[in-house]
Amino acid sequence: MSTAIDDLWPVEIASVTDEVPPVTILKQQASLLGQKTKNIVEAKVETTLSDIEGVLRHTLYLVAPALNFYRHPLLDVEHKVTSMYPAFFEMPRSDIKQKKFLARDEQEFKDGLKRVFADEETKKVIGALLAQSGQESPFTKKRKSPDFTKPKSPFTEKRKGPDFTKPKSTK
Amino acid sequence: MKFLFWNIKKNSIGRVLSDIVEEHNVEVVILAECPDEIQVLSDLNANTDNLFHLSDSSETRVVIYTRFPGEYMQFEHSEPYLTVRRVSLPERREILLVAVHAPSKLHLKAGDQWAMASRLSARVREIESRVGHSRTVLVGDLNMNPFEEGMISANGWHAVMTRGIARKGKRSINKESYPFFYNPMWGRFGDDTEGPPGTYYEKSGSFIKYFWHLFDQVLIRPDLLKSFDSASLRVLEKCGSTSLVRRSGIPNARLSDHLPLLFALEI
Repeated sequence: MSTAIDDLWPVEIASVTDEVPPVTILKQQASLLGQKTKNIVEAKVETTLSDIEGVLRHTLYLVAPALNFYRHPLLDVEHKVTSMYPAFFEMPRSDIKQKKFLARDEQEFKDGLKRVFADEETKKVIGALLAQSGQESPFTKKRKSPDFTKPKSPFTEKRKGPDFTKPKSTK
Repeated sequence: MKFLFWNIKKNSIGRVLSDIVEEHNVEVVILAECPDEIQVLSDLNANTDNLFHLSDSSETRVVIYTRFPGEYMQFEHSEPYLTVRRVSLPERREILLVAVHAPSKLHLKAGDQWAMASRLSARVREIESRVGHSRTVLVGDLNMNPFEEGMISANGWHAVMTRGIARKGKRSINKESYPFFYNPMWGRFGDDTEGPPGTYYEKSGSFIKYFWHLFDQVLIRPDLLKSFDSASLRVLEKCGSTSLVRRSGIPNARLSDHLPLLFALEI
């Protein structure tokens, strides 16, 4: 005689959340960097298990294909495997004062990322990678090209060379 | 998925390449003799939002660009004349992409080219065995014509001229088994076929002269044959209003002395 097994799981086995996981936000931003640099500098996200049990670590790398695919770890994000927020993130290689942030929810996480991306140190690194890849940084203002329509400065006029048509003075 | 292979003869081809890939919706670009990988990347991405990514080609003579991010094209093996990648896109079957730029006839005799083909094809078989499938497409400048020993011999590329033979899968010689490749380039010889008579033209003073060659080839393993539509295979002579050949029909060497190869796989 067979015995029916009671299904003790609820009909909705997962609670619905509107929050976007940190790794998704990181991947979206990684893709946007590529769009800005035309993939001369790309960003990649790698996920590993942290040294702390039950904690995930996502690392956002800047990658420069022209520099033998050099990878610069820009920031690490850690959160529990079982909950996406709070997320703790830090910039291990940065010289900025505030290297660590705690984001309690998605909005705080996005605000923190915005600060990291806008930081001069981040711009400096991306600029250096682009410059060495032979490209100008999209975050720096383009230099104005010289205006050839303006009259030349009288101080930049070529000096006249010696007039060899004149006879040399004889002493 | 559309692929383009082109030996660009170390020329800065600029817009011509990006115009070709936009015109034909190419997703994977494979170049031989690429003089500046980053400049080509900039050119490819100059006027598109669907950007190309450069894949790591540091150990090999070919350069690969893809519309999809590098995570979908895993590095499997690289050496100077050959590189192998696992193309694994979401909800599509993985394929092996083998890109080759074999040594020139200027540097190797026919027997040496055969020996090289034997070594490289053994490497491909070894990789297929390791990854557990042979849904393999091979493309490149093989620097041999389809009829040469290195191309047809069992221990060379073993590339046969009909699908029917290739569908048999493999053949055994002295109790050793060798898988076939199908080589559709056999059908592209001469002026009575679609497209130009070859992919490369060469004229010199020797007695035996073919003039046109098909050094640039695509080879398909039997397991991938159903994904390959021969009609998609084209040797390109023009892009928009830009001709890749001179008035005489031979490749315009100011762009390249080779013509580009376009093909598609339904994967």
